[in-house]
Amino acid sequence: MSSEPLRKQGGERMVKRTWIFAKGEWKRQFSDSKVYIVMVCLIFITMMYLGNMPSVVRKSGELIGILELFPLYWTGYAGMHFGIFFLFICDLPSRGFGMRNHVLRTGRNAWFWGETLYMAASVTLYLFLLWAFSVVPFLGNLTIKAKQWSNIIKMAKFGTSMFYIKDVNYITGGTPFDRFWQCFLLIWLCLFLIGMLGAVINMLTGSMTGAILCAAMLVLHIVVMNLAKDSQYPAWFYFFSPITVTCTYTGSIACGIWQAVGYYGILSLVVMAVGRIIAKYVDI
Amino acid sequence: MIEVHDVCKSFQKEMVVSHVNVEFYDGKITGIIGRNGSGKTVLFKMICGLLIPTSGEIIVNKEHIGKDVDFPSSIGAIIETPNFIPYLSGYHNLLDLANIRKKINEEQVKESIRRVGLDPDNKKRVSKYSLGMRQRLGIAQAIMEEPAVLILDEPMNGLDKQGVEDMRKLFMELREKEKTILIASHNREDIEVLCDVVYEMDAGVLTKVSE
Repeated sequence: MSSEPLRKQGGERMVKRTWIFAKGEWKRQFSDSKVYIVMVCLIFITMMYLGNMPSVVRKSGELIGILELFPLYWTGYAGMHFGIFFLFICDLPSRGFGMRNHVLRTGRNAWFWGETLYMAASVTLYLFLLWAFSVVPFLGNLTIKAKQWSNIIKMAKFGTSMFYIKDVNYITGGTPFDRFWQCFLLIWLCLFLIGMLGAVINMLTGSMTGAILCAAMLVLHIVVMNLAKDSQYPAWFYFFSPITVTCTYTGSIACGIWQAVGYYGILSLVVMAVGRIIAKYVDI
Repeated sequence: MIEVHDVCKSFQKEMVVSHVNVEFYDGKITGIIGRNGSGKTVLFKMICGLLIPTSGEIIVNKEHIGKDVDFPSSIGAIIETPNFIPYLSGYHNLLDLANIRKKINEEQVKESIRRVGLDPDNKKRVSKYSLGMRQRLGIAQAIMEEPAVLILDEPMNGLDKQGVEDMRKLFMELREKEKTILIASHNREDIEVLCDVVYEMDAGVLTKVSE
């Protein structure tokens, strides 16, 4: 008798249990009060970052494309955005709130893939939230324009040490649509990589060691950034710091978006492979 | 039936379970007494598959834990303090768990909650439950899918006198259904009243006391 139908059944069961575990993790995490702290932080940073820009835009009557603000908003305070994201995922995988009851019923594989799915969903939600926060203050002055940059964006500067690209013309070199999805993809991968790295180390140690490591990466980025002259980071640093890559698009590793995406994509796969092995044998 | 073959578990260099060789049979309640830190919970976690033994093997109903399966396919367990999603009611917590394997329906979930003396229609969130109520809910969670194996670590914690009596009756009913039931307790009276076979665990070593 063919084992193909049994394998298909087993695969379907695995997918279903992964989905159920991810949903359970969602419920557990969102029952934690840190979600409110994350939202308050995002509101505070948005107000701090945009300053009086929305009122300037309203007075000028300028229209801004909804895709233009995301790359600008991210790079203005990339370090803080990473920090807030770490706060959101710092205790993954959650060990309380009946997680054990779920794992006993779903199995270790579904536990790992469920956590991975939850991480992917969290990163996506977080970036869409950032996008929404960047866009909402400009309601009434928005347009769906993908072909050219508005004058406001062309003129915007937020300090050369934290600016996305040294030369402001570079950010407006491609279309807003191109910059938007390239930014989104690269930042998504970097957040996912760091998040998974933290979660896998937390899984291995049974504590928040992974979260501490991620926080240490952020501190390292800030220290190197302050030591760097004219935003010239040492070339090797880009291989170790996804945070820096998303801040400064022009780096030796990110001389093209695809090099960075490829590099961090492969690193993410490596972290996931290691995590899967750890999940199979770790004590729960 | 549960077979434990020469199982050891150490954390860093400390041996917490030492060369345990034992079999637990269907239709019997086996009790393990021992003081705090004797290794009872670690042994139970290994049987559930939550901890991997340092050496040895555990077979539950012919399934080799850690090789054939991660966890026994038909097991109900209450280990340490039961934890639930705090903003959901007891019923919704258990319904959430029951929907994973879909072995039972909503009415059966409610029935398991009634069996432990709780009201399934109570909308109170678990975060507002007393310790005794959480313990009862934990027991309901363990028994609701009619598992073949029941692992109960200190099941009477936080229960009042009536609660203890009710749970004893419940476990005896479950024994009649040919389930393999393991109970750990530091309270000798619980074990002596309920159990067909009694072991004692001391410094990771398991010894039979009576049958």
